[in-house]
Amino acid sequence: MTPRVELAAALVALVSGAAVAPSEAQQLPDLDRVIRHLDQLYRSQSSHARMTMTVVRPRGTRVLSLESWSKGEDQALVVIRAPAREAGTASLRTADGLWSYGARADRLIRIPTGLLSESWMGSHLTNDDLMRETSYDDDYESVVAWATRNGTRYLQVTLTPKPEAPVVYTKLVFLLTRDDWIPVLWEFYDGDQIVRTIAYEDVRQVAGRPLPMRMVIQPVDAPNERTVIEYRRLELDVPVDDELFTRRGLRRVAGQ
Amino acid sequence: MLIAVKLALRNLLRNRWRSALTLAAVAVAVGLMVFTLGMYDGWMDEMVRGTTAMETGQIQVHTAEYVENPRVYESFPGDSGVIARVRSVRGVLAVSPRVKAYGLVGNEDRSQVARILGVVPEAEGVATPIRDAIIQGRWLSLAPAPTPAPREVVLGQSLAQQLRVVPGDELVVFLEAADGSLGNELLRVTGIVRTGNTELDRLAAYLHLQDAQYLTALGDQIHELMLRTADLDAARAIADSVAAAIGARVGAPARHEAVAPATLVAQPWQEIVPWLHQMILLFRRSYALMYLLIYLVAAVGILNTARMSALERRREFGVMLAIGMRPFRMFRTVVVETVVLGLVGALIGATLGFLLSWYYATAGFDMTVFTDQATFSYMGVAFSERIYFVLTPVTVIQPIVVMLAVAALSGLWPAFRAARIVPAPTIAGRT
Repeated sequence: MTPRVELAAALVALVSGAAVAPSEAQQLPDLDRVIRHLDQLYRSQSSHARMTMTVVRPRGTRVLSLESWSKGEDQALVVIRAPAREAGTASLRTADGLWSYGARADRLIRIPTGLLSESWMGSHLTNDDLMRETSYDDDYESVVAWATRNGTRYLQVTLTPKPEAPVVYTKLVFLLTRDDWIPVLWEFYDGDQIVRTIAYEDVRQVAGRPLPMRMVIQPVDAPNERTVIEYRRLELDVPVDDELFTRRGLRRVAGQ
Repeated sequence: MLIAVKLALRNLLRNRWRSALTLAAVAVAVGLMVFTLGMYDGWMDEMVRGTTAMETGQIQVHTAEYVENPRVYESFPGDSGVIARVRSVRGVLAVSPRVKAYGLVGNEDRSQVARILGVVPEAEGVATPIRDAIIQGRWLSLAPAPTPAPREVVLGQSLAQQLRVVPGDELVVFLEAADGSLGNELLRVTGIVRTGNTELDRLAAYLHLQDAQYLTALGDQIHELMLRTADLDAARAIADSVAAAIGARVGAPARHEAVAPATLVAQPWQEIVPWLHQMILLFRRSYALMYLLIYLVAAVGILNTARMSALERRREFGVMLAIGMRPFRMFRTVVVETVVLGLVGALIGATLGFLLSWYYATAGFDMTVFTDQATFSYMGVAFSERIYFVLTPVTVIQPIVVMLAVAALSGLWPAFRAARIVPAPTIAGRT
C-alpha cells in the first residue's frame, strides 16, 4: 500500500477517465459524495490514451510520446513510443507492484519501494505517482469548503493524512469547479509551504464528460522546470485485455 | 672538547655495571621508538593505500563541475592523448579512465541501486587490485562481448547477495543517461568481487567502458581519471605535474572562485579523502606523546646515573675546583658524560631498531598477533593483516636526535649541582 495521493492519481484519472458528478446546488455538497467523486475520478473501468509528455529542465527539453492503457484501479501500462532511443521503454503497474521494461534489455525490472519517490522517466512525476493505491477515505481526513480564488468560486477539498499514514506531503488541497467538480488545481504541501502544483487545463468533452486534457506539474522550488502532459487521444471504457498487464502482453505492445 | 669526551668515557667506565644498565635502558627506548615509528608509518601507509587503492586512487581528475556536483552529464573527453600525457608524468604508475553513474540493477523479482563503474578492464586491473578481489567467476574480458550478447558485469559481493545472483545470471540495468533519456541494457554476471570496501561491495557494478558509455549516452566521454602513484606522500606534487601536463588545475575551486565548469581538476588523495588526511596529521602529532612516554623512563635512568656518579665524586670535584677548574668546565664535564651515554645507547638502539624494522619492512608484520579477527576493517575499509614497516631517514635519525636532547637535559641538574660545589667543606667531608 502506498498511501500517497499524488499526481499519478491525476494521471490515472485522465488516463482512466472519470465519472463527473452532475451539477450541484450552491449549498455545500455532502463530504462523502465529494470524496467518493474524487475516488471515482481515478477508478474507471478502462482507458486507452496517447499523450505527449514534455519535461522542461534547465539543461534542455525532452518531448516523449506515450501510449497508455489502464484497467480498474490496479492495472496500468505506459509505453514510450518516441524518441527512437527510448521507444519501447515501459512502466507496468499491477496489484503486485511496479516494473520498468527496457526494450533493449527486453526484460522487466522491479522498482523497489525505496525508489517510489524517485523521478518517473526523468519527469517531475514520481514512481509513487504511478503506484498510488491510496484511498482518500482510508488514509486522509477530508474537509470540503467553498473557496474563492481570483474572484472565482471553487469547491475546495483539503486532505490531511491520518497520523499513521506514511505520506510525504503534509497537506493536499484540491480545487474543483463548483458545478461539475472538474479538477482545476492541486497543491501539495510540505509543512506550510506548497512544494508542487498541478494545474489542469484545456477542458474538453470526452465520452460525454468534461475532462482537462492538459496537466502542468510545477515544482515550486524550480520555477524554470515543469512537466506537461497533454492528451492527444483519450478513449474511455474501451475493452482492454487483462493479458496486456503481463510480461507477454507488455512485450507485445512495447515492440510495436 | 675531545678531552672532555675522553674524561667522560673514563668516568663512565669506572662503574661499568651501572653505565651498562643505563645504556641498555637508552638503547631499548631508542630501539623501541625506531620500531614504533616504522610500524606506525607502515600502518598509516596501509590505511591510505587500503582506503584509496580500490576506488579513489591516489589522484583523481574530474571536471570542476563534477567535483562540485557529480552528475552523469558532467563528463570530459577521455581520449588516448590525455591518458598518455597523464601516464607519462613521473610518479604515475597507472591510469584508469572511468564512467560513473547510478542506476537500478535487477530483475523481475528484485532490484537495487548500483554504482555503475565503466572501466577499461586492463587499465583498472593495473590501477587497482580488483583482480585479486574476485571471489567468484572472473574479471571482465579484455574486450566487450560482440553485440547482441548480454554485456558483461562484475558485481560487489553484497550487491550480488541482495540481488541473489551468481555468475552466469542475467540482470537488467536502468538509468537516466546524460541526455536525460532512459538507458537500459541486458547484463550477464561474469564475476563477483569482495573489495573489502563496504561501500563498493554494496554498490559496485563494473561494466566495460564502452558499454557504460553507450548506456549513459556519453559518446567517448568519461567522468574520471583514476591514478595510482607509488609514493603516497608525493601525491600532491604528482598531482601538480599531472595538472600541468593536461592543463588542469589542482584542488577543487573554492566556493567564491569562478571557474569554467569544464575545467579539469586534479586532486590528491589528501583532498579526496580529507578525513583520512586529518586522521594521519593527528596521529603524527601524537608521536610527541609516544616520545614522552618511552623516553621518560630512559631520562630518569640517565638522570639517576649522572646524579649518583656526581655524588660519588663530590670530593674529587671539590679537589678539581680547588686546584682551579672553572665551575663551567665542571658543569660541562657532567653534561658531556650524559650525552656520551645517550649517544652510545641511542646508536646501539637505533641499529637494533633499524634491523628489526628493516626485517618487517621486507617480510611484513603480521597484525593478527594483536587480534582474533581474520580481517581488519576501519571506516568501512578492510586492510591487509600484513603491514610493511616504513623506513625513512626520519624514522631512524629522529629518535637518536631526540634522545641526545633528552640526555643533555637529564644531565643539567646533576651538572649544575656539581658546578656549585664549595671546595673546602666538600673536601673536608663537612657538607
